[in-house]
Formats: sequence, structure tokens, C-alpha cells
Amino acid sequence: MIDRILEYHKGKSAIGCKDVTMSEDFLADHFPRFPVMPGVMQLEAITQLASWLVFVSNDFKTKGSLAELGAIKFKEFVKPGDQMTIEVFFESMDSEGVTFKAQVKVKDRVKTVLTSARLRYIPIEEIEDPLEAQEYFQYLTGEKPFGIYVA
Amino acid sequence: MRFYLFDKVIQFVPGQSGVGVKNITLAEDFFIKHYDRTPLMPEPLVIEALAQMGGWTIALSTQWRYVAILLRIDKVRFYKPVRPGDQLILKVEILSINDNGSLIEGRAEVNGQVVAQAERIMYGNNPVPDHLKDFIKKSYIYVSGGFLDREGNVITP
Repeated sequence: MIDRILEYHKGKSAIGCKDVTMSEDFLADHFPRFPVMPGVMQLEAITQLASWLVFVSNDFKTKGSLAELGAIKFKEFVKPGDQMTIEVFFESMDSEGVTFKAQVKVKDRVKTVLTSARLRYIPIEEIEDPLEAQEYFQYLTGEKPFGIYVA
Repeated sequence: MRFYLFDKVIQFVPGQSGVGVKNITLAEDFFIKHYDRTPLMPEPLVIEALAQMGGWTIALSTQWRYVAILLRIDKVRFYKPVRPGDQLILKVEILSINDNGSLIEGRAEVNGQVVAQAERIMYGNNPVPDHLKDFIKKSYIYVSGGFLDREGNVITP
């Protein structure tokens, strides 16, 4: 659900981007005559970005899964053709997990606000191949170009 | 995947030109095998995006009298690969429309740089029977992100 990570500061914050497009499957039923990005999908995008930030903050040893959710407000619709800019801010990190807040913007308009949520660490070996995940993270941030093509 | 290759229309001059947007996200199905380690948008789909945008522009210019069906594409150049996170701006210009067919020119840009250009795209214009006009209109409004005002005119944001 994350296309690019535009910037990140270990243990502090990250900004990522996700494009919303008509060809995505969930827009077929949500809603038949009125395509809008489902709110929980936005939450999933936020969670994935936060999880990548956990991954880099913990020296590529753990990722995070959602453990607690405060309040999430969906202020306006996100429609196909919009470029979502997702901002995640870590509030506190401890040995068990991390508490963060986040917001989703489209062209400087705030669409969704997540007041607080908590991720629980999962060791990376349990869910993914550590090296592959690390390489994938570098693709997302642009530290390593996608394959042979260099823009 | 769903075969909608443009997301919304941002500019439209009847009978002349149209500008649309297509967002490319990593979640799209064609990135799964295209390619294993380097996600790139398949070039034919860039053309299809231009062609869909052109078809929409023709349909709206003719007040849904015709459905445009792709017949021929001339002189296409691909300058740069299109990658996830890019926002494709599809610019089409109508060269001619008549009862049999239409001719458009298309250009796809990312961040102001041209990534693909088609000098001529030719469509056959199929007349729409009256009882289907409403359906065609609704589906075009659905794909273009537009909506109708009280008089039944399309407003695009």
C-alpha cells in the first residue's frame, strides 16, 4: 500500500506516498456508483508506513503490527486520481512497541487524522526474509534504484 | 485488475482537447510479473491509458452520440519507464471528428517530462442507440470522476 517513502528520520517520523487509482479492485464495490478509497485501507497504508519506520529504526530487526488504536477521523473523501501523502510521527518507543500519530494529506488538504495508535514489534525472521525486506525498503526510499533503470 | 486506465479528467475543451490523470500504484496487478524485481508499467498500457482518455474526450465532445473504438495507432515513442508512485498526466488533442471516425494526438507526462507520445490515434465512431445513451453517459461520468449538475451537464472538479 506504500509506493514511495519520500523521507524518514529514524525513530521520529516518515513521509510516504500512495497513489489511488481506478483500477484497484476494492473500488469496484466501494461504492458501485461512487468510487472512494475505503477508510480502513488508508489505515492499512498508515500502518505499513509506520511498520517500515519501525523496521529502519530497529536496525532492520523487527517490523510492527497494529496493537492499539486511538481515534481515526476521516474528514473528507479520498478519490481516484488523488496522491495520498502519509505522515507518521513516533511519540514514544520502548522495548515492546511504539506509539505514533499520523495524518493523510492530498495536496496540503488534511483528509484523515489518526490521533494515536500503537504497534507491537514482531521479529522480522518470523514474517519475511530479512535481506529481501531490507532490499525492498531501499527500493521504496530510492536509495537503491529499481533494477537496471536509473531515472 | 480493473481495466480503468485513467482516474479523473482535470481539463476539457469540447471538440479540442482533454487532460486526464492516471495514478500508478505498486498495488496494481500488472506489477506482479512485470517485472519480478523491477516494477515498471507495461508500455502498451500507457497507450491504452491515452486511448481511453481520447475515447472519453470524443464521447463527451459529441454528447455521447458515439462510442470510440480503437482502430489504429501511429508513431509511438516511449521516452522513459513509468514507475510506481508516478502520476501520469494524459494530454490528448483532437485533430478531427466526423461520423465515421476520429483522430487524436496523445502525450503522457510525468512531472512535466514526456514519457510517451503517440502522433496519431485513430478511432472508429460507433453510433450509440438511444436507449443506451444514459448508460454510456453514466459509465463515462463514473470513470472520469465527474458528476452532473441539475441541468444534466457534467462538472469535472
